[in-house]
Amino acid sequence: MIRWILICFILYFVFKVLPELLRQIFGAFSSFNFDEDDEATYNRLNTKFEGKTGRINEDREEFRQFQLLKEQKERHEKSRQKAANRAKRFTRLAWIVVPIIIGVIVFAHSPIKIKNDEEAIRRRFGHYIGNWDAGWKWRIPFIDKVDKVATQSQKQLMMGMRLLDEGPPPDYERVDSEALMLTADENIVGVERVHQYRITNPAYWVFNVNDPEGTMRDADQAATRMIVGDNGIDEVMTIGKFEMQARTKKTYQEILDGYLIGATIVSTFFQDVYPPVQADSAFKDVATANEDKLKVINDGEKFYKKMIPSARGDSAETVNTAIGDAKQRIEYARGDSASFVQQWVKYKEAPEITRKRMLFETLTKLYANHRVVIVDEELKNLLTHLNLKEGKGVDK
Amino acid sequence: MKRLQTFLKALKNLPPWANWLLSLVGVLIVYPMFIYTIDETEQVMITMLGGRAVAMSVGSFIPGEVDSVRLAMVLEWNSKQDEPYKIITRTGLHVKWPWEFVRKYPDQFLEYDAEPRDLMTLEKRHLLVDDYTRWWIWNPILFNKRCQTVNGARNRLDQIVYSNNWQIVASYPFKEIVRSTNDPIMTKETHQWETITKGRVKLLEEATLLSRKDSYGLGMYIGDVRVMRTDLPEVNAVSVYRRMKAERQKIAEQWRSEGEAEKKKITSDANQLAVAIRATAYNLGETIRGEAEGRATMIYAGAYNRDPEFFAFQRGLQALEQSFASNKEVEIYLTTNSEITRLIKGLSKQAGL
Repeated sequence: MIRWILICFILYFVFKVLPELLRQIFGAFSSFNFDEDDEATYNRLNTKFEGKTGRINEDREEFRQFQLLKEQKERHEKSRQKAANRAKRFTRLAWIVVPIIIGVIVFAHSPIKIKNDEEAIRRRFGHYIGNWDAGWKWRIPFIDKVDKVATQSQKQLMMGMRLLDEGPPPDYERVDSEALMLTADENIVGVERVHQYRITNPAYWVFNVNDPEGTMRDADQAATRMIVGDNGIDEVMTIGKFEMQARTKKTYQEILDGYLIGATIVSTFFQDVYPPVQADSAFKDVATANEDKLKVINDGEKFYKKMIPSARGDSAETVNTAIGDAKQRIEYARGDSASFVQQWVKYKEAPEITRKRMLFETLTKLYANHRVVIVDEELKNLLTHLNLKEGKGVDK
Repeated sequence: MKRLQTFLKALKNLPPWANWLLSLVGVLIVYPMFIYTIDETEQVMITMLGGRAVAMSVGSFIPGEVDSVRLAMVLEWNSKQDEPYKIITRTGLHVKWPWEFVRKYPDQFLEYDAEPRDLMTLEKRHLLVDDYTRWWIWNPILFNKRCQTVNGARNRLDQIVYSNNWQIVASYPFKEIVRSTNDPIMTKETHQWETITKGRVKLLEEATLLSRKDSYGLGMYIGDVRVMRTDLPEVNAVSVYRRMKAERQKIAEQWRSEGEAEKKKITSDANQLAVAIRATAYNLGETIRGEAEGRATMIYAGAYNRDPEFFAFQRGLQALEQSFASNKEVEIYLTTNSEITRLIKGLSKQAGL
């Protein structure tokens, strides 16, 4: 409302200024003051001095005035003529030039280039009239509105993470405020996720939602947190990831469809699922503990592998030694017995003589290796003088 | 006065092209008074000189076509009015009188994202809930009457949504807000999940319906209210981290002690088995030796038993020899009556001495 009043004021002043401008530029009106009063005076004086030639003595002032006015009038007429000519020429030019300028402006705003992966949404006076596919198209400028939407390209929405550097390799940064969420068993876990989506209904995308990208972010939060909040932290971090991706995708799509946003989620991927930094070391320790457990058990098995073969080795040795000893014992027995039997057989042929011989042989050996002292039998008392215990003898 | 006169005279004497220019400018100014457009993303309300409303448009979520659902809503409301308004269904170019003013409102899903607010559950547990609302204007005239602007509407929305959410959350226990279904993903060894009666989805639906009812009369239609975050207040978060750490520590300890126990078992088995193996071997060895001893004895006996006297004689001689052989220092005392001296005597006699 106020806008209109302001515009009226502006235009009023413009109207005032415009004729002045035109006057300045083209002198369409006389640069000499020769207005209606002057015209009237001239006419009066003209009739007065009409036909009067020769010297005019009375009304000399008036006559001079008349002559001045006459000059002015002539000049006025001339300039007006000139101005009229100028105006005519300008008008002719304008009829050519102005349409050309307007034509150029229109022409410059008309063509629209639609890239290969885009579709264009067209509105005429705001009313939706259809789509255009890729190529160069003509439109009516200022009346047709064309919005280009990338419908073929697959877009990516990262939540809980941001791309810092494309790389290669790509470098990401976590966004805890988007990623940390509550699980069903009241634990807190961080979920980084990536969605691939395409705009499948570009008209919906342009018209129906005020801030489509923002809506997609919000809807992702709602969907992901709903699914993660339904499950326990161990499932989220390990085996449940795959199933959860599927559920999140489905829920996300349902929410978006409710907004008639025109986008379709192609795939949902959970990237890093991590425990909050305050509990991170404890989680890492669990993995370490598992490794420790395996290592300790391995040590035990190594011990076992050392122990048993060694015991078996020892046992084999024991048995073999026993067997060897046993054999030896029997062979010795056999040998001894065989020798005895042989001797006995020989003995049997001449027992008396053999007995005597054997005795003498033994005694001989004995007496040969030891000192022999012969003592008279009569000296029975000798034994009392000898200290046999100590082995000292009486040297005779 | 004179200026006005010169002004008017100047106007009369304009060159023709200037006339055209001025006419064009005039048209450009004047035409918006007679013409207006409704864009696909807009809905309008027509008033008399900015005062009383006379007409309104019905927006559409189907581009270029009439949305029958929305039309039905508007027509139903319109029929109940004292003076039904004129309903415009088309988008695009329209004509009007200069004294009819056009007021435009967005015809899109609008967002409202509130600040995270502290809500309390049935068991008096606190949650920081950050929710958003997606809503749209279904009736521009009504909306204009009650809220005037979209920003004004946001204030009302805040109150309505917050109070309804508060009411719903306070009626249910904590688990109903966090969980949604009775079918979480299960692993073999995990906890038994308590069943929930409604879950987040249904609770939000209830809250949405309540808010929708409350805001319908303001010209707003609430599409949905969804939870973007439920967080524990900072104090509780700290205790949650502590608990998470303790849980993990317990698991780590358990695994480590399981490992130790297993190792002990293996090593003690090893030791036991080794001892058993050695004992068996010893046993076997002794048996073999014993058996061999027995056989040897039998062999000896078999031989010696042929002539025990001879055996005793021979053995006596051997014993005699061996007992002296061990000690070379021993002296032998023979009496004149011993065998050797008698032998010497006998032999000498034989020799004729």
